[in-house]
Amino acid sequence: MMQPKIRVMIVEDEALIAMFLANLLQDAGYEIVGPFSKVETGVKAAGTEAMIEAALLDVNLGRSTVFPVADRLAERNIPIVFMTGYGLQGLPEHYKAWQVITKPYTPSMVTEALARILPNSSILLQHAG
Amino acid sequence: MTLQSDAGSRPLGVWSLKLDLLQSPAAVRYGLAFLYVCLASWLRWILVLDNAPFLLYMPGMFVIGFLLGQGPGFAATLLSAIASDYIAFERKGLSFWAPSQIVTSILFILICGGLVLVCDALRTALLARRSDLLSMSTSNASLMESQAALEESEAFLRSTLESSPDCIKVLDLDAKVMFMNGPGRKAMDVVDFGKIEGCPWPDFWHDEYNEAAGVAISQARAGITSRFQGQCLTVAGVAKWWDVVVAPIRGSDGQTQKLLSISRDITEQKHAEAQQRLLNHELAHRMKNTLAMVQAIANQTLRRSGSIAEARNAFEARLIALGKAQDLLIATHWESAELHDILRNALAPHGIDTGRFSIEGPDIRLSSRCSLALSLALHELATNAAKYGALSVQTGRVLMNWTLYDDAGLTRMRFEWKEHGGPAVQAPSSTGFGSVMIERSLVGYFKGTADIQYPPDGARFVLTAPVTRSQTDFSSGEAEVLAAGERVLPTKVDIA
Repeated sequence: MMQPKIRVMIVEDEALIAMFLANLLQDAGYEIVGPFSKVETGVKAAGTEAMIEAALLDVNLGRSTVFPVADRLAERNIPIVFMTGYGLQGLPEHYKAWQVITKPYTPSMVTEALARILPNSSILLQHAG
Repeated sequence: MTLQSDAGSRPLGVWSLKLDLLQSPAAVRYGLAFLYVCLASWLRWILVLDNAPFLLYMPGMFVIGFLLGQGPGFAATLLSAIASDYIAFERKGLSFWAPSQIVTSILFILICGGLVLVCDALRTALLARRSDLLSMSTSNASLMESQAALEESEAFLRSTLESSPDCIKVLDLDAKVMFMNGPGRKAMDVVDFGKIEGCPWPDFWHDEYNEAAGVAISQARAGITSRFQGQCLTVAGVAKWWDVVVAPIRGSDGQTQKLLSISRDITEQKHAEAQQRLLNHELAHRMKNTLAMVQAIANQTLRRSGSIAEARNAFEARLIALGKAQDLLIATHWESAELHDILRNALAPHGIDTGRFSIEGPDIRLSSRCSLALSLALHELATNAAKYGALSVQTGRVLMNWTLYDDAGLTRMRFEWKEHGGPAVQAPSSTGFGSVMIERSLVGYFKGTADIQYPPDGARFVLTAPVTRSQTDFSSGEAEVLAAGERVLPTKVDIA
């Protein structure tokens, strides 16, 4: 029997980058929820989508930030990887403990960050290995 | 010098005229006394005043005693007594040594000597008074002079204070406001100075700035000048930024007597700094995003290319298309670009001026990201057309038009790219970067729909997207602007 894929939510407003991110995660064996390009759709999905195990969030969405989505995910104890062009300085204090990767990133930077926040990452790495 | 000192010097002028005879040499004074005695004796001789032998001599003694001093006075007295006796002897034959004659002469000498002494004393008194008056008038004049100088320096200081655009305040040692210059009152929206006079100056500042103001005051009290920047509300409640210097004002003993506070309004500068920070932030963000976009393009290009050589050519062409699209946005500080300009710019490498393209539609501005995405999509469409479609033959043409239409009360745009006159079209067997870019990416940027079809007479691409009507346009100054896709808004700056 095939093991169910890990579902990862993506919020990224730059469609080309979102596409790239989705491709690299699919190649790494994840299932994609999204990508969402707006805060509203992201918040909605964060509240309603079942079985999200991790999320990749682009910090800046046009003139707004992704934090409402992050808040919603945090309520559900879903681990987050933030992606930003600014580095840590744009992040509120309580999110600084999460994984942050800066743009541009390599596929391995993304998969490694995900592996670090996923509880069953050792199994995943074993499978990947 | 004022009027009063003039009035004081006029009587002095008269005194000096009279009393200055005293300054003459002794010979002159004695000579004058002698001349007087001669004159009086001559008059007595010709007028025959035997019943009043000393009549003509007496008045002269006053004048001589007063004007010429004691010496000439006594000399004139003696001479007069001798002259009078001699005349009496000549006229009446009275003996020079007759007892009555001697007694009369002695009396005359005593009286006249007394007169001379009195007049001399009077003169001395007058001289003393004159010197008093002189010194009084001198001190009066110097007083006036220093007062005038004081007034002048006060007027200078006042005009200096009023000329300064800074808010200048004088505080007492308890930091209570005693004075505020006119421009300062204006800057702080103070209509009635009485209402803030005596208020503690640090109370104008809040939070950390209140603390900074307190520190500056203690420093100034200790004789140290300090400086800080802070935000404070004007009396009317307008938040302004100030660059503040607080300094001690020392008395003549070197002790700090008052405090000086000079505040310069730096609100505009702070706004400009915030704007600059925001721009830098934006620029950094865009640069990183552009790099990520280049990475995505590279990834997609490699993923969908048959060979390394093909991938390299396609990637280079796409980078150039991206670069040209950015050129257009730089002109509007990365805010937006007009659709006609985007088309002309993106299709310039594909012969926009050869008459093979037809462009028709109203002016519409696109946000920076929609502009970039559409430029890349147009590059893919034109590249495909040049390889397989209408642009691969001389007769082929590309028609582009866009219109606005109403959809359930909202305005939408419909953009169409239509090729014709080319070879018979076959739908591509695999999904290339172009179709991924168009069908997935473009939809994301424009929040609309995108569709590409390959009917035999020529490829057809249709994009529909919501259009916002905006009243403000910062770049062209047009009253109404149509913007497709995301909203195009002017940058707003908030200062913390």
